[in-house]
Amino acid sequence: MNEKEFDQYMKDQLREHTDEMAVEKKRIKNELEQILFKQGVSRMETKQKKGKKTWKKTVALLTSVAAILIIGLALQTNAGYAFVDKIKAFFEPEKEITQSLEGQEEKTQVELNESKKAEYVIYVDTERYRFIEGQLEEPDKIVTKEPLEERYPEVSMEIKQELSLTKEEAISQIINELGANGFEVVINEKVTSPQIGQMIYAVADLNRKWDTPVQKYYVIDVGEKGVFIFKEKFFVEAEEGHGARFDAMIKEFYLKEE
Amino acid sequence: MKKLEQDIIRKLKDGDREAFSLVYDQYADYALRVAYMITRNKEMAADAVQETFIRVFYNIGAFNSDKPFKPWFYRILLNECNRLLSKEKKVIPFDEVKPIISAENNETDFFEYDHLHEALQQLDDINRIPIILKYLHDFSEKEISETLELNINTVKSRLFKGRAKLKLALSFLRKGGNQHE
Repeated sequence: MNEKEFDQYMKDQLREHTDEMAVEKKRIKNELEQILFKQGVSRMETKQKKGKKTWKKTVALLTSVAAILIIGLALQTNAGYAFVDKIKAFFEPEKEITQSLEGQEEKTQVELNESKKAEYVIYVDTERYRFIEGQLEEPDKIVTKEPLEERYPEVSMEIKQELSLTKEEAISQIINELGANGFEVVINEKVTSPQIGQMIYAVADLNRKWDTPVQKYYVIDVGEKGVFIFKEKFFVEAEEGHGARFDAMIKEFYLKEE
Repeated sequence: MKKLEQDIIRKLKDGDREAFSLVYDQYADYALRVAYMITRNKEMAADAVQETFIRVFYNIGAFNSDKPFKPWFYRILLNECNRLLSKEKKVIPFDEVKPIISAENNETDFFEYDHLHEALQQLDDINRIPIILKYLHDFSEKEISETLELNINTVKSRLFKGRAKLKLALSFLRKGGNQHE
């Protein structure tokens, strides 16, 4: 590799491997605009008042108020997607949930997150994870707050709304994709928890080891708004940890209705 | 500084929202990349960038518009990265550093970047930061010297040595040798 090739190699590699930071750009800008240009507050006043925790609470409060305004309190439960009835509840910016992990009951503090492009809100265990809103066609994603050691397979959960797919089409697409990626579908069944829908569970190798990658999907039919697809990625040993925590978050997923 | 940039900075000094937006759009992308390479932590990088823009907004009055904005901006960013790293006591031993690798990378790419990442982490910050600024964001030697407040000859020397060390480390890693010098 000559000097010129080395320079190009360096540029290409460093840029390519920092591309993933682009997803933060919009979020930070939105936050900055709220911090710096709050209506009726001068630059000095804002400076004195600025503070991340205060801001987070404000966003959460505004989000919950906006969500309530959008959905209306008169919404009726629909048998086709029963989880919608939960949106009658007040969206607190933060709340405590109890989840069962490895046989133990655990109280977890969760924070409200809102997807702007797909019309839902979800409570996220922000002590362990963070919510990344996907740009354009990318799904929203919940990832571990701290990156995992390299020896662990990916742990994340994607949330995507597919407006043009039926539930059956989505399931068929997922199964094809899993097969193409070398995953074996172990379970494909209807479930009522954490939401009413279809669950597809697949592993990378039937002869499982502690670190065998697992992909678990939930497909939820939301009528005219297509389907929501949750794609959990973890590994065998994390089934009762990350897997259970992702399920607990899906349970705290609420669709916004106009 | 170009006239257009001067106009934007002048408006930013008046607290203009649109000017802030323009500056953000122009600088945020590479600021995030650079912060990520330096902190090796996505969340910390995002925090560093957010705090940098807040500091820019409140301290733009102290900026001398006769001078280039880019080094001033990156000086704040690097200080912010260092502040957060020391605050979080993120003194990361080399063997615990996790490669920054996206899920989409294919195996070959992974292999190559894995080595590059390891080689980069072997460098001291005095070599590593100029290398990151040069290759990630096309900083000229003059811009690096202004950002790091170093003599330009010092920057040239650090870049040269940094690149040589990188190449050596990469050669060792490609041959499957010991990664440490």
